[in-house]
Amino acid sequence: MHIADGVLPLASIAAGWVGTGVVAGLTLRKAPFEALPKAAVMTSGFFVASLVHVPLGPTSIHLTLNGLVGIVLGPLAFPAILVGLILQSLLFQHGGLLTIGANTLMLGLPALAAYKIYALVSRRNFSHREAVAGFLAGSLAIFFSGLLLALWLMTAGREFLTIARLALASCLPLMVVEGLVCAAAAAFLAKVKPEILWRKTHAVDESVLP
Amino acid sequence: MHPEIDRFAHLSSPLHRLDARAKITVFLVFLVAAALVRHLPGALLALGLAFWWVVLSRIPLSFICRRLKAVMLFLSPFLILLPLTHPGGWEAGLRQGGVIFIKGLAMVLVVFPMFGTTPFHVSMKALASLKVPERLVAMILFTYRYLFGFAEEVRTMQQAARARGFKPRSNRRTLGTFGNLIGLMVVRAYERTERIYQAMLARGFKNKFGTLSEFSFTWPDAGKSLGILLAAAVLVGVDRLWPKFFG
Repeated sequence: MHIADGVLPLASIAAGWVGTGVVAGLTLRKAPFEALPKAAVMTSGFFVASLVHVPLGPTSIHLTLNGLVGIVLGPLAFPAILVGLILQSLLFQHGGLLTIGANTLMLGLPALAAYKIYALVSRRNFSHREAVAGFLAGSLAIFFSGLLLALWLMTAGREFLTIARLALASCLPLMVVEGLVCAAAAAFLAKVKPEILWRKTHAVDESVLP
Repeated sequence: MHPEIDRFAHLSSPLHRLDARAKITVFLVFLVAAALVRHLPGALLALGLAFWWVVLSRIPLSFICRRLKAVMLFLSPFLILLPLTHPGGWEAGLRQGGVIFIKGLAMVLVVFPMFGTTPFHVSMKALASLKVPERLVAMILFTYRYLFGFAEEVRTMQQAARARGFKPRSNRRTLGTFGNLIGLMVVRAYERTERIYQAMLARGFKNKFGTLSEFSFTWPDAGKSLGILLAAAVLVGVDRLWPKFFG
């Protein structure tokens, strides 16, 4: 899910950068410098994982994984997604250069929401709670991203209304796919290495907790 | 996967020799100018200029064409759907979709002379000296550094899955397997973070990056930069004045 260059007007592009700058600043400022190399190694792993082709009907898609990034990296998910999008734009020309700000808000804010959703749901006591929480975090992250995508397109003009609706509708199959992958990954991590999940201790450093 | 945007950074061209800080700055100005374009002649001019710089940079066109597939995928919905859904009729929709498509293509092409003619780490150092926050640049460099190893690892994991008879299909089982595979990838990355950090400290890492390249801004740099800035100004001028004279 990316917005390419050439679509958004300059005002939306500027708003995207301002929003991204504020949120990235807030989440990065709390982190000690030594947390960054570690978060970056995790970002690298997620980046590569998101390049895996997943078959979907007659075609195949790349996963976004922003929900899973949120679950594992917590608040640092936002700068991680910023870095991931910068690299995707520079290395593969996926998504524009000027639209990195808008794209980071679109995928990064839902990642922060996914981290909260996962923490809230997995705290309760019922069977398969890790998988259920993972599914909700993964699929809702995609849904929120779809909503933000539609909103960004609407800022480009009223004639984009139908395209925005179609973009949101095409998120529904993605929600199922990402939800199921995220559920499996969350259950796997909870079983194999629970300390990775941000809610328990977390992947990077104690002192980064908000 | 070919993450090497700078595969042809070793070539020599006027754009390769341009100071990396100036290169990034002036092309960024051009991208902003291109984002301001609203009419077809302006979009075509932007595409022409971008193409000219690509030719100047001597980066092979085959390398570029392979990398244009993704952006075509993101831009073509606008070209197809806007004519069908535009409230002002199909003609207005086609014109707007065409402007978006051509503009988008031009802006992607600019990335190649902008970042394809400098080694990646030098571009990042240039970003740092252009006041991009140091923490962000450090994170980009680290992430970039480990991409290649992890990509190799994912390939091995997929090969192992295939050897056990795994065939990806559109069903729950496949997605569950991918979830486990990605989970394993995250575990491996996590287990490596601590060791990598300790190895860095052992080699004297002091929370700062050094590169061996030094920047210098010379008279030819100034000339080329002015030329690109002038192109950006002409682009905006043409786009604003065209409808007044010909529209």
